[in-house]
Amino acid sequence: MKYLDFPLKNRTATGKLKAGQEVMLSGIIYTARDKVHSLVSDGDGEWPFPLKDNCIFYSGPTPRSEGFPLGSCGPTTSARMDDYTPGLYRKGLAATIGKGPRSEKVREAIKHSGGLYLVAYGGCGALYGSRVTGARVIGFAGLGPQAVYKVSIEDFPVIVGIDSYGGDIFKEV
Amino acid sequence: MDAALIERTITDEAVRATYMLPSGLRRAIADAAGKSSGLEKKVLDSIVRNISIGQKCRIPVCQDTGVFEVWVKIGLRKRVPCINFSAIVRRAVRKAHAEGKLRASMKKSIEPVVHISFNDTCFIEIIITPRGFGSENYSSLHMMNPESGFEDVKRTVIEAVARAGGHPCPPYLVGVGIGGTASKAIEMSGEALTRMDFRHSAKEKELLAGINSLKTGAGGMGGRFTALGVRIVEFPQHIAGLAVGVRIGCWCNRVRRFRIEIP
Repeated sequence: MKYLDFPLKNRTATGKLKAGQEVMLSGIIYTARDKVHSLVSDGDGEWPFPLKDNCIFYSGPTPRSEGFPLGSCGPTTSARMDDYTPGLYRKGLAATIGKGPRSEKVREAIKHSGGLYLVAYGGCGALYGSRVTGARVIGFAGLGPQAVYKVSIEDFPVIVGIDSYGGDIFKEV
Repeated sequence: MDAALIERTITDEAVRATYMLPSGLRRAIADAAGKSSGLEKKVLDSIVRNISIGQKCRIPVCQDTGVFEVWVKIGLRKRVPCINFSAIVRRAVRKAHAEGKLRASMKKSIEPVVHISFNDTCFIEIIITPRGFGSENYSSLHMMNPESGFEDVKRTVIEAVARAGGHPCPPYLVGVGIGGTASKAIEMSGEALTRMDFRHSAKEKELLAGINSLKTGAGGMGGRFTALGVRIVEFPQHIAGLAVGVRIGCWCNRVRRFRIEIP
């Protein structure tokens, strides 16, 4: 089993991973989905965390409940964020977590920046919720489930979708 | 017949729909997990684990608790009291969001899609299906040539599933409505997803095999299980056209169905 800890201080770690490998994540990640990407892109807001070395999780959770600080929190379809994503990798973003294939432009941006695209198991909100140890809103609080949460995770299972060499698990399908 | 009691029942069932999947679906997923290998097995095993966490902790199995689509089928054999079912369902679904801590997935306000129909029975049947939008985004309507045969329909449905690729959450359940008007075909395809019992007719079996030949696989990273089930609902067609509705359901096809006897 491979492991990654966010924020990713040691960027050479991405080079050791290949598309299709399972990775267990821990550390801090940030949620953001359609609305936040669109607002920031239009200049109606700024990322409430540094992009460099960090990881964006495309997820809009349910309200928190006992034992689930981020509620049910599976990944949403990544492709809807494709147009916004290449620029973020260029600014140092280490990884994104979502589900499904990405565009060619995203793949190229990942290859050039040495980043990663990680695939979470689609629809598995309860499973991922059980791997969250803490969460709080740090931006766009008015957006409800689309707000940006700072999330502490432990044993968060994902698969490498696009590796830092541009290898793409969905390309082989 | 007590309107408050009906509202309470719909509220509870709406919450339950989000954490308790139909038993036939749970079995189909577990079966597929047992028959798969490699990455696809990892995906299916994770789904099995996820379903059991959701059920045990009573937390939505998927965070997209969706737009609630509710069918109310009212039997007219006995005297039904004057009840505003649209209003009851709306209140119940809103209450379910608050009580069950469901995600407010709709912009502006929570509004269920309600289908009310009447039949010749002595009970009211209610079907509740939260529809997540990962899969709903790939539902489609196809107005085909009137002389199209099943082979043409099959090709169209397989293409529709291919377009979904791995964007929603495969393995899929595919509802197909054939005939009627544009709205009828789509409505039938949605209702087909509420009747997914995995007892496939010859046509459904053939369509399922065709869809699985796409090899999209569970999780979309390749494999045998692009879909677990197909349901076709048919209606007579017009001589000048054939409407085909395709509703893509993700593996998390949440359905609660129950009856209220009319005293």
